[in-house]
This record gives sequence, structure tokens and C-alpha cells, in this order.
Amino acid sequence: MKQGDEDRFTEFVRAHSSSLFRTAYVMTGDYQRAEDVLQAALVRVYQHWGRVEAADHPVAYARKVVVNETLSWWRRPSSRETLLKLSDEPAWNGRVEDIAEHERVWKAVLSLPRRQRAVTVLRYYEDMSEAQIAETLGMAQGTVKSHSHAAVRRLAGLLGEQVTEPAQSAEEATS
Amino acid sequence: MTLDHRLTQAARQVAQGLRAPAVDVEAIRARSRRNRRRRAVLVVAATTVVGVLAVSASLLGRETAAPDPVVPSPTPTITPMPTPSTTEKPNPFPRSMTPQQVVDHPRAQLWTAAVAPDDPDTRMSLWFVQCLRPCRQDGPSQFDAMALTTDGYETSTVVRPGITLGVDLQVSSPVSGTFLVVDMSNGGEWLVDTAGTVRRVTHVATELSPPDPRLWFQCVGQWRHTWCSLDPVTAAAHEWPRLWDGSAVRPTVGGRPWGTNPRPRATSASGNLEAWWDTGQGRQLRTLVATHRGDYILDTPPGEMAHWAMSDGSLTLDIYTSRNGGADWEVDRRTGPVYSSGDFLLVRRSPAGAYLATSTWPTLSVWRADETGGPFRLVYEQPAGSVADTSGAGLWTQDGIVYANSNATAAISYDDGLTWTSIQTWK
Repeated sequence: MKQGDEDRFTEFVRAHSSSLFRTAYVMTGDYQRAEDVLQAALVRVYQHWGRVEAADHPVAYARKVVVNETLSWWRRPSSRETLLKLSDEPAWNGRVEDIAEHERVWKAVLSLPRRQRAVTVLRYYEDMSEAQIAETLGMAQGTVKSHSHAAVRRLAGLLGEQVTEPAQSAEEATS
Repeated sequence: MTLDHRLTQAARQVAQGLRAPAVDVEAIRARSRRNRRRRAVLVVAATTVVGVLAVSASLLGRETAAPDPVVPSPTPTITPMPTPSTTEKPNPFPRSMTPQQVVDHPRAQLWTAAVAPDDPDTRMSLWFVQCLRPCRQDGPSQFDAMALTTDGYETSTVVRPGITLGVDLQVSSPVSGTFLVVDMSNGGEWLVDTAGTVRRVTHVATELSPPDPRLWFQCVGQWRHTWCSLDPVTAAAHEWPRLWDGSAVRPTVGGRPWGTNPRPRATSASGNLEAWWDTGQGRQLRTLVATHRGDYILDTPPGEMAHWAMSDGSLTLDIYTSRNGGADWEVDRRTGPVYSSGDFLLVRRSPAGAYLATSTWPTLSVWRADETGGPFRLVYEQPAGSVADTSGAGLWTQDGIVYANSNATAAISYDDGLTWTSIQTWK
């Protein structure tokens, strides 16, 4: 790689590794696992830097690599996940100092089956449209929709909510 | 609160509270080179095996067709493949580092940064260096340092911080040449001067009422923030009684607290924006609007209580104001490109009375609306390519100066929030 490319790659890592790490973290739910995923993804990005840099949206490209790394980690037989049981926890009574509400919601998200979790994470945590999720996960928009509906039904059950349709993302709402 | 709402809010809060690790670009390059070499070796090995098989097949074919004499072929040389290690060796990480080494380290990351509004060349920054995984089990995994300057880091004093690096450090400048660091997550406070001297602030339950507004700060309360006044000489924080916990207005002699949503009903959880105010005979309460996003407005003029609310999915911001002790509330709807979430929005009045709204997520942005009417307009946005997240975000006013900081960027406005100057040099 030429020095200019090396410099731009360094700059890219400095500018975007935090955001890419966040994606890895919300996908895996494990800080150290997310570090591993990020490092593996950045190695891939480095190896294909010419292609990444030539992409319309290099960050979106890199995020796709992060998501794919996570999915391939999920496929590994050594990756074990613990499903959380929220039913035993006391109901949240509105006292912010008692239970961090967002943590409870997030744990519920992490307990979803992998594809449903990926769709939910990309929708709510990355604010992606259905089209962007489909592109990132390499699946049809209809499949994204059905995973999304299934995830919402399951989350509603876990969190004791009425089932509602997910709101449109900002991009969809303005298009 | 709908499920959709809970998910959106949880997402934002998880993202906000997350601190990314340091990434060693050189380690990425090295690992990439190792992968390439391994692949190259595999290709050589595979090619050799294919070659051997092809030779064998052709020999077998010849045997069946015509028994020619066997021509000895050279023995194929197979390069041994490196065995991928199952347990990675810990990365080398020093057992000690001087504060200056921390600040100068190529992987040093900013924890928080602040500038004294009365002298933008007086600055403070907190740095840390973390080991890269896998870390040694028996050694330190992080070193911290604090860099102080009075000349914009032409020269600096670098010391060990001696304070806890909490996730939400708020830094202000109560006295010239001194910073007050408030750890809103754990409840500690420290006074740091530009010589690098750190004094722990102790709490006393007395109602000291200094006239200098810089000596007032919001400290951690039972419900949300309460009010403390600082005695910088003795490094004592005078914590006012619980009555003032959650109050938008700081205590004054004869003054009464008021605020948004009394304990334990947070707006985000109850779905209602409620105004409360103390009359001396008890606490009054009024529900202003059904929303999950709203809060009080800071620095309102005397005799005025004001709250902001954003409707779900709307980009308008409603200002609820009462000027007659809570008897009547008027609503002033303002449009404008205020960040659509509102989860991390803070609204306060400028020195001249304009409304300033700031959001620190995903980037530091400030919007301004005239007092008399009109939309909120974006007046400041953090420059692109700024360093990763830091803690200690906020918007303050002091002596006619407006000051905002977040994400390793501080910005100062000397004309009531109309134009801003970014500060990004922290060592």
C-alpha cells in the first residue's frame, strides 16, 4: 500500500473506529467480543482498502464488514450465548435509580434470535432503513420486514408491551 | 411509552454510555500481513499438492496405456505452515508510565476536555492510554494523565489526575485559573488549578449563598441534580436541602424551587411533562402535555418558569411558560432543525434572553431561537473528523459568554450564541 493510502487508512480508523465498535458492541453484547470483531473487520478493511475507499460510502462498507464478522462469529460453534430471563426480574416501577430501563430493554434485544437481533440492532441502534438493513445483511427487504415483525412481537412479550409496528426511520419518513 | 420508543431510547442511551477501546493501527497492519503470508503459504502448499496429484495421475494413465520407463521426478518441497496459536500472547504494555508519556503516547485518548470561558487559553484535558487486548493479567491496563495550560498548550503542566475518571465528568471554571470537575455518575468533585494541584471537594449541609453565579453548580442529588455552592478557599460544597433537588433555578434568599417532573416520575418513563413549583405552603403540580421528551429551561428570568417539550416524531419544540406563579401557562411553538430525538437536549436562556438548545449526540450542536419568536436555527456544529467521544458535555453561560463542550471540542460564543469559535487543541 502506498504511503498516502496508509495515511488515509490511519485517518479512517481514527475517525470511525468508535462508531464501528459501537456497531460491534450492540451486535454482540460483549465488550471484549466486540473488540475482537472490530479488529478482524479492520484487518479486512485494510486488506481491501482500495475497494473500501472507492466505495460511495466507505463507512457503510466498513460497517457491513463489521456486521458480517459478527454474523460469522455467531456461526462459529465455539460462540456460546446466554439467553437472559427477564421474567424473574421485578417489574420496573419508574424509579430511575432502581433499574436502568434501557439496560433491561437492551438485554431483551440481546436475547433475540440472531437474525432478529441483527435486524433490530441495525434498525434502532444504527437508525438504518429497511433497504439499508437488507443491503447490509445481504437479504431481501421482505425478509428484513418479517424478521423485524417477529422481533417486535417477541420483545413485546419479554417487556410486557402491546405489539406496535416499528416506526419509520428518519430517512424513510422524509423520503 | 410504546415499545418503539423504549427501543429507540435504549439504543441512544447504550450508544451514549459506550466508550470505545483504543485501536492500534499498527497491530491491524501486522495482523493483515500475517494473514497474507499465511494465505500465500496455503496457496503454495495447495499448488504443490495439485501438481503432485497431476503428476501421479499422468503416471497412472501412462501405466495403463504403455509401460514406459519411470522418470524420477524431483521430490516436492512443502513449506511448513505456521501453526495458528490458539492462545494469543499478551500485548506488551508498560508497568509504569509518566503522565507526560501518557499524553505523548500515540494511542493516548481524551477522556474529557474543558476551557475556562473567561480565558480560552486556560485549558484542561484528561488523557488515558489503555493496553490492547489481550492484556497481561498481572499488570496495569490503563494509565491516566491531566494536562493543564494557561497559553493554549504552548506550554503545559502534566500531572497524574488523582481523580476518578467517571463516565460523566462535567468541568466548569468557578474561579480564574481553577477548574471544578464534577463526576455526575459517581458524585465526586475536585478543584484543579493550572499548577496541577488537585483538591477533593467536601460536602457540608449549609445554605451558603454566594453572589457570584460561577460558584453555583448542579451536584448529584437524591432524585436528579440538586444545587451546591462552592467555597473555593476551603474546597467545600455547600449542599442545599433536598427541597432544591431537581430544581431548575438555583437557591436564592426567599426564592422557591421549581422544576420538571417530581420524584419518582421521569418524563421519559411517565409519558407526561409535569411542572412543579414550591409555594411555601406545599408543592404544586400541573401536567403540561403528554410527551416522553421534555425538561426545564435553565437561566429563565426571575419570576418565570419555563419547560420545553418535543412531540413524538415532530421537529417542533414547544416552550411552556408561566409568569404568574403557575396559574397560567402559555405555549410557544417553535420550528427548526432541532435534533429529532430530544433525548439529550438541553435548553437554556442566553445572556440576552434567546433560547439556546444543545445536543451532544451524535455530535455537539447548538441551535438558537430569538426570545420574541421565530424558529430554532443551527448556530454551531462540531467540525467533522473530531476525536472520539469524551465525557463532560454541556452548555454554560458566564459573564455574557456562552460555552459548549463535548467530543473533544469546546466552542465559545461572545455574541450571545450567534457565532462560535471551536477549540480543539488539548495538548
